[in-house]
Amino acid sequence: MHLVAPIAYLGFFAVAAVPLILYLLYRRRKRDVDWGATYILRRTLKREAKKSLWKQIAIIAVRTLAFIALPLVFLRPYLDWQPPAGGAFAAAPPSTHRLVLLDLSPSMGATHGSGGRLEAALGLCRKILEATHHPGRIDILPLDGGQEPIVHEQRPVSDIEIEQILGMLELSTVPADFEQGLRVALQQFRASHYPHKELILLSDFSAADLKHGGRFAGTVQALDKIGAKVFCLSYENRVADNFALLDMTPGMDLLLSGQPTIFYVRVGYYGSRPAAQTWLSIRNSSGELLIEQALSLAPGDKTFQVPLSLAGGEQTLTAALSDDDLAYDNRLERSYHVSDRLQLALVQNLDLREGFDNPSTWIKTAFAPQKAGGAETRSIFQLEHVREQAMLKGHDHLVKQTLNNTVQPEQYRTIVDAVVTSQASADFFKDKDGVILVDVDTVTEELEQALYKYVVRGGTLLLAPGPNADPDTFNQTLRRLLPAQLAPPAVEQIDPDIYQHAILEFAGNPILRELEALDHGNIGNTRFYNGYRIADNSMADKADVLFVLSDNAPLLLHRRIGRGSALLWTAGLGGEWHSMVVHPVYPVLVARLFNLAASQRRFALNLEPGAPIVRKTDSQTARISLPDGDEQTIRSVAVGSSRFVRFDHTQAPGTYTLYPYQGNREILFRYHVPQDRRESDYRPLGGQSRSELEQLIHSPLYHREADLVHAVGATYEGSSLASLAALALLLLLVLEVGLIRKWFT
Amino acid sequence: MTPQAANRQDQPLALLEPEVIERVRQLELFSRFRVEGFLGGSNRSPDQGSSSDFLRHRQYLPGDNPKYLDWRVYGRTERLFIREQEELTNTRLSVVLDVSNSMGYCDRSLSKHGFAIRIAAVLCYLAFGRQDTFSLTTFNTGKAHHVPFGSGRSHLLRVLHALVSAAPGNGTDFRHALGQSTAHIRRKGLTIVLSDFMDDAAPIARTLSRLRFEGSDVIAMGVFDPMERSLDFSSITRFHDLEDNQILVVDPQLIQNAYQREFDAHQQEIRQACHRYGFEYTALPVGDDYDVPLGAYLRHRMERFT
Repeated sequence: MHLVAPIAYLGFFAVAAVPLILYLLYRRRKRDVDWGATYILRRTLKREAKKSLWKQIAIIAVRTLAFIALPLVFLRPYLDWQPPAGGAFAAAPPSTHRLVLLDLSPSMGATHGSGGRLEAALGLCRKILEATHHPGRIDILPLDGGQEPIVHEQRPVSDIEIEQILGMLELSTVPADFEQGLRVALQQFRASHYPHKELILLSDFSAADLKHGGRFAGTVQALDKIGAKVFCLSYENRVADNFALLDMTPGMDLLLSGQPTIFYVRVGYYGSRPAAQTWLSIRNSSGELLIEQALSLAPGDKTFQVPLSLAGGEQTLTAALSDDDLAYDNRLERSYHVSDRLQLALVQNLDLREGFDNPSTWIKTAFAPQKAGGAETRSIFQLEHVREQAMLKGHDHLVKQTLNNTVQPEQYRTIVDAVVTSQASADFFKDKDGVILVDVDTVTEELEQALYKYVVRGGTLLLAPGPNADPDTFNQTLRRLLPAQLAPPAVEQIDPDIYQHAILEFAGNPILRELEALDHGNIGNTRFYNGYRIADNSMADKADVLFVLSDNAPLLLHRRIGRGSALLWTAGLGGEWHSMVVHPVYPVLVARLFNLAASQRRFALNLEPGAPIVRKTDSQTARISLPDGDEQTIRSVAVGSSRFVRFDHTQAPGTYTLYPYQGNREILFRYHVPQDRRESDYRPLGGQSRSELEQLIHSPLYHREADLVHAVGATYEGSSLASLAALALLLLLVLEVGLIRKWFT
Repeated sequence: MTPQAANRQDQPLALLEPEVIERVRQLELFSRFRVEGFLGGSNRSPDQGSSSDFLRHRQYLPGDNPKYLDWRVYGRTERLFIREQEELTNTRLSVVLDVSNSMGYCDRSLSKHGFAIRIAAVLCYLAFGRQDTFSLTTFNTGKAHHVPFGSGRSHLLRVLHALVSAAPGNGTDFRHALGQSTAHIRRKGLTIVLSDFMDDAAPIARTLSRLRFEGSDVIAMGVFDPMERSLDFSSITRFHDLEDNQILVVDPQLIQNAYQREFDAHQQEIRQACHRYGFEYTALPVGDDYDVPLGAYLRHRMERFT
């Protein structure tokens, strides 16, 4: 039992002294009486001696209790709070504003003990809603970055309302935003007129949550200042064991049908074991199992190379891991354009040089068709071929896939059409995946216009001025397409003993990075004796350097123009200034560059959140199915002679299925917005992080509901005894009067 | 009692106020049992007499006086029966008065003693009016004073004078004093004991039972002050015992109920003890109209036993 304001005792004693003083001042003195019936008096005293003693003790006890009850009435004592029976939540006292911050991040979908974390959290929310007996307010705010809590001010909450509220609480696709949630809670509490404020935080408090949760120390301090009490219940698993499919990208952005391609599958393991195994399976659009293999991982993430060969068209691959505690990150869908072949246009001035003096010969040779069993026909593309064969040897499934998917087995998949500048036109470029401008330093205005239009619409142009090019003319003629202004070559006369090496400057793309690997040719081994320099401060907007020479001179530059890009190779594609033409990396480099560039000609199927879905169509309207199951109608827009549909609301992760032709649901295209997989790492906080968090929020992290209920209830005063004390005082006074009347009057 | 009467308290005749005499004149004081008197009177005698009061019929035995044969019965039944008649005589009234100090308690205009001597005076007056002989004995620790049996006006005055001159004093020794005070009563008569009976009921009744065994009719009149029963004091009180001067300090409020119950229980004990030995007990509360409770008792007695 507690007594509030013990200092009130002083006042109580002062008040209690008043009747004593009055008694002492006005007490009646003893009187003397001559008595004739002392015989009766003695008999009475003898008989009543013991009985009267007990009666007096009883009266004194009653008066003492009344004396004790009197201050209790004013000091408002209360009993310690007792936990409710049946696992119910602690009922809030009147005028309490209770706000529940509910973590609905994907990691809350993990199993927790015998059930799911979310089910446990919703069960607790139900108990909290049911434990509303007094006027007050209860808000439930999902920690998904939202601003508006689910508010309920009327109490008690009916069962139907509870079901409605709980029905609105579903797993989100974004990580928990503690900072935003606490800020909203602070705003709600500041606007609240209820004196008692409780903040209950239900989350798994994973390391990932707090890593990205931001800094909310200030918000917690502000909550402290306004008197809000913070309680946290953690739904963490002591032993977390989760695999997550983080990413799946192909080794080449432009996939060719029947061409074995390395897919880089990044898998994460977040657990307490030193190593764990899971199964990876990948299926294509028709559900056919492409590969299934066991993976062994240590904690952290690891990228696995999975060779696959896909059929032409747009293919959707579904990768899946074995079931584990957290299901949302075990599946990953990606769609890819798979082209039947790569078509390049080789444009150069009329060049009468023959053989390997002509740079086009090197390019044509590099992409010459590979005959079946082509050991007898030497191809400079042999390295890629050998690598492909090696891949086939190690993976039986690929042999079958390659044979099934190859459209033209007798011809390799890259076609090079060579024309002179006078024959080149916009129509010629229309179907080409890339255009190579070799040894051309000036073009007609029409050709420049055609090239510019081609690039803006997504084409890739590789500019490779030869040793005889005039930089000024080149800069003047192709100024709209150049990543940078060309300057004169480094040296006028080549010295065979002085050469440079190529170094990858732009390391962000793994495809280009492979070029430095031994089994991909090792571009670092090539020798560059000369090359054009880049004029100072002439880099265009959206231009960057992909390769540099060892003397830091740019070798390959890249510039985004519209949806396409222009590449500038400063050392010429012939053999005059470098040894790359006779090096195995030469066709690989060219192929990779065009693969990289050609993929940009098509609208992306795997989108970043918010990136638009664009698709060419002939129909006036199209339908799109959203990740949440809703469908919307999109009107197509005419652009030139074509019509396009565009859908911009792709913030929600998941698969968007576009039906470009109204009424024909057989033609469909899938677009994928990746889910945030930060929540996959739901390992519990370490001891230090936990204590830091507990210090930050000024509250321990409870693991059991009962502990939380007890912690919440421990802050309550419990049952007030004031009314009980008043009633007891009244009863005692009545009892005292009654006993006096019964015994002594 | 009027102030003038109070002033004349030391005068014997002051005990018998004319208005009181007028009210009690109609009352009858008689013994329930047969008494042995010398003169004719209104009380039944153990002897057969010639009064007109029929006593009983009994079979004629040889030697009986034939003049008492009831010839009417013989005419109807042809059997001889003697008709016996009651003998009426006067009674002997013994008034035994407690004059211990406890009788001196006074809460109002009359003390218990003053009340008791007036009652005794009235009783003697009633005996005087019926030509009965009467005596007065006072006692406290022993027999204090005795006026032997007598009758007539001068005897009444002597008794009244003795009453006036009797003053409360000493303690009370019921066993010894009552024995001494009633030792002179040898013939069947009526004995009235006036006291507050502040002692154990059994010894008192046992002492008086001797009179009853000898054939006397005994009436115990308990005199008490209403204040003695109610113990109506609101503060702690030092009670001085009138007989042995001991002091009892008591909070009357704490024991008032128990005291009243004890008082009533004592009265009841005396009543039951008296009834057990075959005589009556009546409690007379002290009041200014002292003849009222006495009159009520005598009327009630008359209704019961006549």
